[in-house]
Amino acid sequence: MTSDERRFAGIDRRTVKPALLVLALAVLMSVVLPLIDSTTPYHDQVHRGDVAEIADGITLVPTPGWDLATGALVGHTRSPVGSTAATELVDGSVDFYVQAAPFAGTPSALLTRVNQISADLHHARGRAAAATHRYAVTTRQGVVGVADDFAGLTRQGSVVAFVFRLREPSTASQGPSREGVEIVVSGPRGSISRRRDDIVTMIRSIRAAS
Amino acid sequence: MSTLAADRRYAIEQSGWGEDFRLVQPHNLAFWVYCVLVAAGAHVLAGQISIAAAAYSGALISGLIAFGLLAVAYLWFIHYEDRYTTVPRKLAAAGFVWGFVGATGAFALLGNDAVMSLYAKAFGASFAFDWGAALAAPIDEELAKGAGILLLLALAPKLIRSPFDGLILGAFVGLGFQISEDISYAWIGAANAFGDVGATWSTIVVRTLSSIPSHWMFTAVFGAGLIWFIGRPDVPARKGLGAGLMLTAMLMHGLWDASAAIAGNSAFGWIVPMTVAGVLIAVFVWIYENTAPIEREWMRELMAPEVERGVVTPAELDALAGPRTTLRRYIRAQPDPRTARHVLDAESELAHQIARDGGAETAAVQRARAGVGRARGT
Repeated sequence: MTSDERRFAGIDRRTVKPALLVLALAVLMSVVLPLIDSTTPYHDQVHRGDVAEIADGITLVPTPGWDLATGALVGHTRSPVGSTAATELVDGSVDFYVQAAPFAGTPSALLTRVNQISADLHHARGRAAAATHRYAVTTRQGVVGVADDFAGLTRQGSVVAFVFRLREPSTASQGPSREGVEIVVSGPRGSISRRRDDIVTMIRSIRAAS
Repeated sequence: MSTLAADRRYAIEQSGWGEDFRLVQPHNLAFWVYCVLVAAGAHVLAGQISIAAAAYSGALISGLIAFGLLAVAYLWFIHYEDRYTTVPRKLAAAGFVWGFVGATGAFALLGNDAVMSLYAKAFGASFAFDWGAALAAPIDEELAKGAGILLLLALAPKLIRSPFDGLILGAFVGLGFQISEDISYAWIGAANAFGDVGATWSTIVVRTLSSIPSHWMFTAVFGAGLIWFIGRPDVPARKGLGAGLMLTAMLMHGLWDASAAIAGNSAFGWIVPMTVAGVLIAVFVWIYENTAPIEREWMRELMAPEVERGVVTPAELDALAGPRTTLRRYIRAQPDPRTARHVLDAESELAHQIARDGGAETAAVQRARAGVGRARGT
């Protein structure tokens, strides 16, 4: 067979099958699966009595009816939750995101750092979000954190920062280890207002093991 | 033509040794798909890097430097192990770029997120927390990297002639993926720790220490399996073995990712990763030992006429075409090991030149032959 006979529209027929197979796989992974995911709702509703472990030794009581999108419920997972972990709860269009990681400073320093990162990211993306004045937030355990609110074009919300002292010292010389917890709640204005009580209750429920 | 000369021609033809790799092949659809997917991957990665550069630049730079050095070390090692009919640099580079950009950006980043999210939606977040990565990454990532080997096979059918080539090319593709992922993890580590660069260095240490049983090895095993599955002109297809090796790569990858969930709170959490590392290394060595003989045979056939000419001694040919233990034993047994090493290097260069010139008696081959004499000090 001559090379002309092996070609269709200038392309060697022998190369069509492997190339299209790879292209189909790429479309499946980067287009079809994300599309299916974006149209599939969460079904993992939190029930009364469920407790989320947001980091090793720190828990949060989610409001029943919200969906756990990411994270671990106490007693439901085998993998240990480390000192750096993320938890995400969603209810409709409202997102309640918790990030925990070791942090040696104050809640105010943590909020400043989180806001600085957020400002850098917004600047890079050419977006802006105005932050309000800071105010104190206290958990039922008595741990005092600091928060501010933000308002973007389509979403508004709050950022709250706590620093918990954990029971077990990380090393004898450093004293008790400290765990920073950042909570970002965001959603459309009306949706946030309707869920205000749920959100406040969840934030106040965060506690370190004593 | 003498039998030895005919064998030489046959070895060059069968091995594809000396063939140049051309990526730009407008009549080859694999070339266009390669370009489109690498461009798509670069676009996705550029979005990620712009985030990292804006908010976590210290972590990004640390990751680039540390894992850049790790990449150099592994590139040297893979090249060192590919000592017979070596994979051309341009082909190795195309494989590395596919792993670094195409397989990550155009496949795994979006695919993994979607699959893990779907696991959370279908079976609950706790299930996804334990098993999501282990059930998503081995399938998405091994197929994404293997897709690159398939494209390169369509682009260089004369160069990828044995499962050994699949092993080496797979290692280059996997290494590209691994380094890309390592750099991402470096700045994501800081992002998850409120921008703390100390977290990045913890990630760098952990990822470096666990870099042996990782993507370069998973994909090397997968690549050898893929070539066995498809078959080559001199290597008949062995579908069962090929499929078994590809599944082994996926299974080991899955077990590695599931090790925390399997171990739970047990004090023996190290057992699963150590077992995976042991099995993976054993499979890699088994493939190497079972695929290198055809490469050695090609080297022997290519250089046999040089023994007849008196340029290479039979013992040197045994060292050149033998396993590394034979090579080391030969060098140690020589009165001047340094000179012996120089002679073998010159003979290896002569072999490459003969292959590049298709077995013809060219001026370059004669210069390379003279180089052997110079290395001997004669």
